[in-house]
Amino acid sequence: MSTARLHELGPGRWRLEGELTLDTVAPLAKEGTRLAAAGSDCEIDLGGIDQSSSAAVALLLEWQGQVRRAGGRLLLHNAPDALARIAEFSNVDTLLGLQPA
Amino acid sequence: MDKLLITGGNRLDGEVRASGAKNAALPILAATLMAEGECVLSNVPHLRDITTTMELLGRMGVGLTVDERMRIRVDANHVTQREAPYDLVKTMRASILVLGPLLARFGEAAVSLPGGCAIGARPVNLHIEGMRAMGAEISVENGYIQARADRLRGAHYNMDIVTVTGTENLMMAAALADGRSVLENAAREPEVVDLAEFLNRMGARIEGAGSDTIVIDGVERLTGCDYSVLPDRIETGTFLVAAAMTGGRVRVRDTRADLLDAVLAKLRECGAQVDSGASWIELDMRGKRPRSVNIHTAPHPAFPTDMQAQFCALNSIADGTATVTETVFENRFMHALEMQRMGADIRIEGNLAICRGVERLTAAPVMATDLRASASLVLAGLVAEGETLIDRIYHIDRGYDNIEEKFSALGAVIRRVHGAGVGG
Repeated sequence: MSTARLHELGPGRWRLEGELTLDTVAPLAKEGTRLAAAGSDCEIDLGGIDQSSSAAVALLLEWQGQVRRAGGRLLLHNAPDALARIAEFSNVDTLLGLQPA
Repeated sequence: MDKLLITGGNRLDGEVRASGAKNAALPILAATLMAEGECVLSNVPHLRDITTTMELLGRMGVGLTVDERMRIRVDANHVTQREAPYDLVKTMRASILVLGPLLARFGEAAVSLPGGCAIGARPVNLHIEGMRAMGAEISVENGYIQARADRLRGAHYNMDIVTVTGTENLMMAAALADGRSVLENAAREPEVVDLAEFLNRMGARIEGAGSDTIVIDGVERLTGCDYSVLPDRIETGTFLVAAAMTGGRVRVRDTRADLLDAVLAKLRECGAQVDSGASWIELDMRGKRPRSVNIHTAPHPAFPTDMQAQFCALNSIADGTATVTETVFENRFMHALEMQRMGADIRIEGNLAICRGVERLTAAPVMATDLRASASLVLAGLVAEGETLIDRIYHIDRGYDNIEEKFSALGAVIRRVHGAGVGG
């Protein structure tokens, strides 16, 4: 199983990679602090996610809350279709901006 | 509130996949409370009641995740709360189904009474009396059923009326009881059978599900398992009726014809060509107008009450006059009043609807009042002249997974109109 990672690509730009399961997302929750540090919008490229689950959706919601409280917005791009479908199943797709294609 | 806008007059043609049955998935989800180990459920439909149930279980401490294959993984090894609170139960009556599992495995449960229902009285007294017969101490206090038992004991219990959720709740409770239980006058619906098969897969010893007598020999513990939920026979039937009404041809795949014998017989009687295989059913109306058919609802294996509204819609444009007799719920003709707005000739006399088919319906703004009524209005809209706008479609979202996408794939002109505000 590949570990999930959050890479910083530049100011306010990030990439999330790896397998996002119940076992791998917990350590990533604290990364929300890095995302929120600038107090401005953050863009995350989700194209590197190999495996999705509702745990990933929960992680993104947690990060979204942290960024919002710091005064910014969390903008998600290139979401895998599986992740979008899980978000839709959980009724948070609109909240996250992750509608399935 | 969201609405559905339908332009009528298109003949449906194509293939659609049946979703998993909500009424099978809900008790199965409740039953996962009893498992010592992970359960993996597949073919679970994407519906509001499913997510409500997941929320309910989550509040109890159950771990739930949805994986990439849309399977739900359930871990009930850390249940800390044994309560189903009013704010959730009031939105979904099926929350009562956690009573049996909580009581059986943990010896206690506090479940809010569900309250009234739009389509009729559905008391839970049989659930309560049955568990008392198994040795539970139950009181009703402040709107909650408070139940306690050291360990339930097997009991021979005869249900005064046939109740699906009552049968399911008592079957789950008996699965971990000490000794043998016999449930007489049990519900025979396929969803009851599916729950029994799931419980047996977890290690229960249940025989007779599908008959009116179910025998359960209680076991000490139940383990986790993998399970695929039964196809939704009512969704299947709804698409087939849509084909019949529009004179079209629709194949429903990933479903089973044996779940729908009474419905398929009526569709053949209305003049449709109906064929089936191991996992599909196809209806071809060959452009013909359907003939009207008399309907009499009753518990399974008789004609299902959940298909009554759809057949009222069919009879509204069919050739001839037919009667629809509703024996299960006392207020399940609200769709008829809405269809009258579209030009349907339906007269209600008590539990009888007399439907005289008209050549065509005309579009109108209408309001959904319950799940199956809303489906019948969609069907009426598919054949009505003009644009039909259906309000309060949160009702239909409770039981039909992606309905507008599925009908669109069959050639219907239907789209969701998003509105502000919160649905029920």
